[in-house]
Amino acid sequence: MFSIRERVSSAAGRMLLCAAVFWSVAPLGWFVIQSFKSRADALAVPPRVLFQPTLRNYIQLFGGTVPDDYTSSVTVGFPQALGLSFLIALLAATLAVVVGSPAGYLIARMRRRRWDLLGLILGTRMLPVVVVVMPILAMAIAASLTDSVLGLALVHGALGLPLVIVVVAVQPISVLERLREQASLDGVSVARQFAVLVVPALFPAVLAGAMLAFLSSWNEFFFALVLGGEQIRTAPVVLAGFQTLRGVQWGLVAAASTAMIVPVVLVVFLLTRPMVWRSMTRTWVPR
Amino acid sequence: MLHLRWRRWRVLALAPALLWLGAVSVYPLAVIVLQALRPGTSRSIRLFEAISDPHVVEALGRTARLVAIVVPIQLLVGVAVGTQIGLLQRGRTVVLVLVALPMFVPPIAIGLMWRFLLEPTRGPIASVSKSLFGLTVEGFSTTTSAFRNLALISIWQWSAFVAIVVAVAVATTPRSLLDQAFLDGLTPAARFRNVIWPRIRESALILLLVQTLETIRTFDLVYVLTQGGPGTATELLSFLVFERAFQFNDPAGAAGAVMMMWGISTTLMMVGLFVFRVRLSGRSTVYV
Repeated sequence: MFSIRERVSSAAGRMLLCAAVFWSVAPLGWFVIQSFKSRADALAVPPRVLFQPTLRNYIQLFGGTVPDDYTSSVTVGFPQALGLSFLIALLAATLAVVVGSPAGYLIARMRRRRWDLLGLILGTRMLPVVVVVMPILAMAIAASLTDSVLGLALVHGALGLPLVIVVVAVQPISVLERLREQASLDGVSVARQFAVLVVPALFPAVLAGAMLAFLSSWNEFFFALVLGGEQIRTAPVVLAGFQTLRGVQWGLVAAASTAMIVPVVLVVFLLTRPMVWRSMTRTWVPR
Repeated sequence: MLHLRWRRWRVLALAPALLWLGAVSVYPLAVIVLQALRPGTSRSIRLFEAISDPHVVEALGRTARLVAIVVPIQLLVGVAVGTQIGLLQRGRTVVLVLVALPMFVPPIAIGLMWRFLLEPTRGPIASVSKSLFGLTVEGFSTTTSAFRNLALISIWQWSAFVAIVVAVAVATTPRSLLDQAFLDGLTPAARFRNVIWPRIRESALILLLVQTLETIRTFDLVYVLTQGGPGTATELLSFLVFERAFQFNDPAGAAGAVMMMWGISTTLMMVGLFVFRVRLSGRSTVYV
């Protein structure tokens, strides 16, 4: 049936895929496993594959007490940091959606210069953060927005905004626009056109953009470090601080990292749900 | 009448977004340029001071070296893996999500994770390679190994992203086209060259630009892994700027290097966009 060359090539392709999945998943998997090890298992050389799993790292991380604990000072503030990160990411994503989705829809309707505008908008995201951070810090100090949730959310929102705009702006809306035209000929008010036609049609794209904006704030470190100051310490900032205290507590670091990754995986899982996934892949399909 | 109202809407909807983006990009750039064009400690302006500063030039060289190592590998791996994923007929989404995981993990967690994995004495990679191949793993203690590991982690982090974009572009290839090419007796390599590559060429070019800019931006990994060390082995330009501005508390002194960095990024972006503009117009195959 199939020639040898076909079989070799398809086998090689499968092997490449297996290798790629392993390469992406194995390091993360091992790190997550590490978070369930006791101190003795974590320190064993060679590393133990079989061990008695324990939740002690998580208990310690979230402020509980565990026997023979001499590292409690390390973990102070991680649950609060997670909460803060969540709050800031939610606020940033909301702001980005409120400001970005009308702009995205407008750009989707543009006939000329659309890609120039999108290129410029995406270009703001490609700037190295160290380039823009100092004037932004000066602005934040002038507006007394350092050490504040709102200040950080405004900066993070600006990182998410291009993502929202682009995801909405690349939606194919020609059919939608024709329907709207028909509706307005039939005397339907503009507000109702939006409520019945535009918002439902663009909702999946807006949702996808919101999730991407949420993720980019949740994972962001540099602005959080510089603008957050003493009070507003987001989860990545606290996580980066773990390594300096009393050597590196790998069990705790792994547990904290896992606690940061779990919401991300949930969001990514949501992104692959048919409704969202369809809207995002549709954006990639040539019209 | 309707037309005029529409125009007003357009301004209303676009203005907040553009103002917001301008406040965090255009305005800071203007401030930086003004600062960099002022005279520094010597008689010349800060930008020229930075250009003639050996530390800055070395950091720039390290950044360029990292780009030269990392970006071609990311593209090769990403295109190969992404093509295979795009050609899958079942389970494409699952494989895509699994392969894409690194791109969603916070960079700080990525750095800490690899520091743990690459620990020379207790790390899992060290013990596996020692028992299987008799090789020892060097962590981040020597200059060459620190830089090599930084490149490795950067490749791990971003190949996934390249693979996703390529996979999505490949997935839009009509099945009938591939089947026809197969029936016409094209070899797998010829099918890739003639059917698949033309569909992903533009994505690949854009990714070349995006990944170059992304690698120039690299900061979190250096911060959490090496703090630029040992010595200055992994002190990329972005980290040098951070050190001068925040650790040595001299933001104005860093302005020259900052403007240099901005100039390089923007030039690359402009050249890239200019080259791709014509090819891209009227299509929406690329999502960044």
